[in-house]
Amino acid sequence: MSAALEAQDVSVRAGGKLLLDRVSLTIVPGECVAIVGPNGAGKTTLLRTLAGELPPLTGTLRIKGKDLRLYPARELSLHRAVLSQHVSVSFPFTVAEVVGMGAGNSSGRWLDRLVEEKLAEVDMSEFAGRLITTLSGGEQQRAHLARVLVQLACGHTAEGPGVLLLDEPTSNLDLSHQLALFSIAKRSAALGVAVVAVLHDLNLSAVFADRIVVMNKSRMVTEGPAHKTITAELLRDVFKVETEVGAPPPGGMPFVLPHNMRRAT
Amino acid sequence: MSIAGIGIATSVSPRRRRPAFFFVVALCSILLAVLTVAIVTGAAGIPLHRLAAAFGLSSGDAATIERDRLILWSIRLPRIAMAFIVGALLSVAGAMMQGLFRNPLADPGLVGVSGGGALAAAATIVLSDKLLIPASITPPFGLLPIAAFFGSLISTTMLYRLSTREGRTSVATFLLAGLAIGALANAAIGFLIFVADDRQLRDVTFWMLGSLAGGTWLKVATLLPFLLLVIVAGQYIARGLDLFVLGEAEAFHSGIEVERLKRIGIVVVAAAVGAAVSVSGVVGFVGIVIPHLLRLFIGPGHRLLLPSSMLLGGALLLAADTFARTLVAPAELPIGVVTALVGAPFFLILLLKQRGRIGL
Repeated sequence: MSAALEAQDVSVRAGGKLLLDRVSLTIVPGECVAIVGPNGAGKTTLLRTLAGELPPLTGTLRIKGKDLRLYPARELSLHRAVLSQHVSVSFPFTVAEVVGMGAGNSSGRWLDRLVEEKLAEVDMSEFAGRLITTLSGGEQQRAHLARVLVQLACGHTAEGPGVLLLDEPTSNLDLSHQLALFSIAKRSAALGVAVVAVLHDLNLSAVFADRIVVMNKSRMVTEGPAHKTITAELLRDVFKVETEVGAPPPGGMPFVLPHNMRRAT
Repeated sequence: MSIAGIGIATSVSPRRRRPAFFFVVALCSILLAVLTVAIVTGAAGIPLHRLAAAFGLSSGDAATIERDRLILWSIRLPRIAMAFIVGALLSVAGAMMQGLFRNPLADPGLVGVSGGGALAAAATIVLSDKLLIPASITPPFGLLPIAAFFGSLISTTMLYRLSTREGRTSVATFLLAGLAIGALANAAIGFLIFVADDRQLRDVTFWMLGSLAGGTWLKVATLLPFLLLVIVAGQYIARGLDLFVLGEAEAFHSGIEVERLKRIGIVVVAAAVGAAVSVSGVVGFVGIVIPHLLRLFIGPGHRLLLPSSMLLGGALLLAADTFARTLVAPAELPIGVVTALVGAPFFLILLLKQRGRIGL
């Protein structure tokens, strides 16, 4: 199967600082990938670069085989959708209006129906008429997730399954909505969408992702399935934490508990 | 796509959709009422029962009709048309700027955009004699509108550059940078006043205070192409401005050519403000009061907000101007003073309400 998203030797420089150092990554349709790493490792930069937001200094980026720079913004939006970490809306749009913005310039009755469907998916149906400026952080994050899902659905209809990029999508969510988000992402992946998420929680990453990409100091340190990447050595070298990695039966999925952690020297 | 959802479609955003049509009708009624009052009142009044005759629709005393007609066509109507268009331009420019800067506190007069236009206009008045620009390349409406447009364009672009970093606009930087640009423009105008002769001084002072007196059909004709540009471009970028409210990065993610939208938006704002400033001087706060009031009723969607802003902005500036020219008749209050008296307290209330949210 051809790659949904391909980065080859991508470096990004901003303000005289190298933010990404020769990162190469290939993601196939239907795959769920988690990007993890300590603060300032370049996770968000990598995601924004994959989104086409930051132009790479060197290297090439391709979505569905075509160079990212060759996509006009409108066409690109049909192939990839992005959920940013913080979106603040300074005008009193209703939740339904914000979610409908996922369709860009298009509108119509079909859109109203799609908006309702996606609001239901993120458990926000009763918020449709509320003003987005009056919602809590977590509720806003779910509303924006619904907006991104509308965009993804519009793209799917027009161009087939695309790429979904999520920047710390669970940062404001309670536990039950975190799990709901992952099941939404998994369902999209089952339809052929390539999902990439920046995550902080290693355990959730291990459960969610088919593959984990570990970033540290602007470089990609390693990548692979959870049981190969989340190891005691990695936690010590990258995250500066001394701990043991367990594996609950029966899946053998690795887990780390904070109870026996201490900072590595 | 599917059309099966017709039955439930309207239930998604009942808040906004149903009132839209009635709202436009209501705005037009307001405009009509203001228009009638503006026509019949003034230093030389034309009572309602003589109005039809003045428009040539009924007969009456020939001398009275002749006098009414003269007042109506060469003094009152051009001034009314100008007041309406200036109000419409300033108010829609405010609405666009607020979308473009993602900031409900943006107003062309407040943040130096009008100041840039007024400076360019003042420079044209004072320096045009000295520069000896040949009359053959001067357009019939004079250099003022063009100079004011470029002055506004430069100050808007500067403001954008100063207050936006990596696609995020800081509200505090925005207001302070606008203040600085306005102060700089004022200082430069002060210098121009210093070197101006008596006649130029009078003309420059006119720009500082703002006035709709001296409206002519030529000035109205000068404004029309700008008005048309703003209407067309406004509808063209309306949806983009909606998405822009989410942030520059999000607008790009959603398929908006962000740089192009910004360029069009800045040029259109500068054109609207420059045109308004060139005929009326600096009239502040129209652009902040009107869009804010409208958002309370019809929401912030720009497709409806922009044209509604033009209707209500035109109507309210017309009302303010009628007030300004009748309150102390036969003298006139400067229109800029009237709008500031109403608008400045309004702005303060808005600022206090927003204080927690924007981190000031």
